[in-house]
Amino acid sequence: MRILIILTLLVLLTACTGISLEKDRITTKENVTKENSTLIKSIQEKIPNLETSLDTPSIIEGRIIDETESVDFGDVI
Amino acid sequence: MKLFLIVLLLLIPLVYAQNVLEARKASLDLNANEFILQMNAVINYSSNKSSDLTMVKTNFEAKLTEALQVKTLDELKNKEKEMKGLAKQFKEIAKEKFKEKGMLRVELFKVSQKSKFQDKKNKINKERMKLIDVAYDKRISEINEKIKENNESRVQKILLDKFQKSKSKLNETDFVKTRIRIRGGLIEGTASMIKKTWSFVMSKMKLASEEG
Repeated sequence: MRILIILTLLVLLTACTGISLEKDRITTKENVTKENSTLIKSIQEKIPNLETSLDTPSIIEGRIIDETESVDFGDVI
Repeated sequence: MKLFLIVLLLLIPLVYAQNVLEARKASLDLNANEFILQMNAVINYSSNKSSDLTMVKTNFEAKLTEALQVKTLDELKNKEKEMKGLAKQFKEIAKEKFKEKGMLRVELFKVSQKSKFQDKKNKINKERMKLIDVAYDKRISEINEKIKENNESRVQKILLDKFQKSKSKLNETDFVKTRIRIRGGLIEGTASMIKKTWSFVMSKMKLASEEG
């Protein structure tokens, strides 16, 4: 009987520790994801500035040509 | 002075938007007229001067006239969509009508050789040049500011040099999209290739018959 009680307690203890560890892992994962998304967001915000500051004449020309190019109707047949 | 600068800064986007609209109208005018030329060739090719094709062409031309009078870019884009729809409709009718397209293709090739629309291409170039010139000036002043802040900025100095060179060559540059030229070039290239192959085969046949 004693052995059975000790075994049940051991199983319960292991299960509780497991649950608690998993909870910690999830929390850490959430934190990492949050940190990553903040980092990604800040990089994304910086990209347009970086692009603009390194624009070359051909990039500017290309952008203006694309902006002012009308639809192409293609060939009749 | 400050007020003048504020007014000027507020006016630049407005003028820029107006120039974009004008440049896009010029581009639409060229693309649409190239298509109209093809439509005319198809209508003239059909023996009974198909009325449904003529009707679609008339609608297309009317939409083009309307599009060239709009005041905003959004309105212009809507008109472009409608014209694209009409072009698609014309293509579908033509596809149904002409099962054998060999000779029609030759007619269209002849027409494409004649069409140059140089005045329309010059207009697009002029409108785009205005926009590019403004954009270059803006970038040059921005780079100069950066160089003032940091004297050792090598990248910015190279960029400044590139922009100044491009600005000096602005009048010599062609800003009409190469897609149109490539298409013409492809047709020309294919035609000359067929011509060469044909003359080669003919000369060989002549030689063989002489020997025989």
